[in-house]
Amino acid sequence: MASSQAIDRQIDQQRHRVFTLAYYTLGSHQDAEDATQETLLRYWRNASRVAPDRVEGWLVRTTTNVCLDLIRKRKRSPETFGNEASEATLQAAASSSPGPSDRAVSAESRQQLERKLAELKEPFRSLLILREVQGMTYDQIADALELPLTSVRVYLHRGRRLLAQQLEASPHCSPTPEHHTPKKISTGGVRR
Amino acid sequence: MTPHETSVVDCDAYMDAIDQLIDGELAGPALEALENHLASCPLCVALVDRLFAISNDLHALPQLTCPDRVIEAVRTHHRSDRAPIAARMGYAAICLAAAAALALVLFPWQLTAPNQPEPSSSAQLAEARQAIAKLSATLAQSDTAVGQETLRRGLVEPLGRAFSVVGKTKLGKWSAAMGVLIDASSTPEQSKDS
Ligand SMILES: [Zn+2]
Repeated sequence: MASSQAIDRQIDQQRHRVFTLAYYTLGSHQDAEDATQETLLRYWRNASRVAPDRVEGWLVRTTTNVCLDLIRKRKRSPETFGNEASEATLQAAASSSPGPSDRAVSAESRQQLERKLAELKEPFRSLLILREVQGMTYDQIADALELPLTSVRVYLHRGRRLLAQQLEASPHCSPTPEHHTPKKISTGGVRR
Repeated sequence: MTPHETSVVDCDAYMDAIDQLIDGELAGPALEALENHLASCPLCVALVDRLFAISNDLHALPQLTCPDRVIEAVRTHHRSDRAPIAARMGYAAICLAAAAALALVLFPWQLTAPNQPEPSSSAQLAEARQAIAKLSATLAQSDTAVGQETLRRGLVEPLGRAFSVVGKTKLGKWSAAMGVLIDASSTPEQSKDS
């Protein structure tokens, strides 16, 4: 069994991934903090029952469940996505942004993208976050969410189209045109 | 074939291929077939552009940093998770258990050899104090401020008062001492300053 220090190290390493998933699912910094805290606490309580190679999947699944519980409990969709949200990600992205004017434009479209993403229904939202934002492979996602691989693919493809429709329908935002080049064609994941 | 000659039915046949293209999984003859279709279908070209843009925009969303206060809160909660052996049992249960254990220490002659004379009260108190120390050490394994405070207020202080009531440890006074223990255990706040 992992020592208390080892578990502490693990949650320290994993907390950013958990927080990122929670944030894009819930659309609120405060809610994401609550969900992250709850998830990591549950992990600490159950660490002895989680095999070392299943930790990441366990955390993804638990984060998703905790977030959905929070949404249900607070009886609200993540529509409160607002300035706080965009500020948080703006800060996080500031160092990689090319310049002030570009940053201002991309901050607006990013806020819109985050809002539309958080408004998507499950499992489309989680799949898009895990695959497109967090770069997990289909196998890892299928494993983490305990879904068949084919379902992961179908939901992800549908989620992408739904998000495209939502952004089309929105007055301020369509996908960033300068990103059109297929620079992110994935080569990393295990494919079946 | 001109764009006008491309029907929606034709496009439907390429939807899976487009998804695979976005996933980076399309190759060989299937890729070639899609490329041929795209060469004559602006609708599908627009769709491919849009889906690539979505995928890339999502990919560009920043990975966030979890604030340190979150992990500090997790550590604090986890410590108090481990601490409340005492809190979970409740003050009364703890003190009853402690009293039962101490009865064995204070009055072993009553249980094992009723006809032997009582040992001196100072020896009993020394033994009792040792027993409390052991009990405290066992219960305090959770090692937190909350746990220590629980023990101090719920166990050690009430027992201390009980000893002063027991005095020369006459059995007749023992039951009164138990009453004091239980009273004190059910009102831990009052024991704090006494
Ligand atoms: Zn077409």
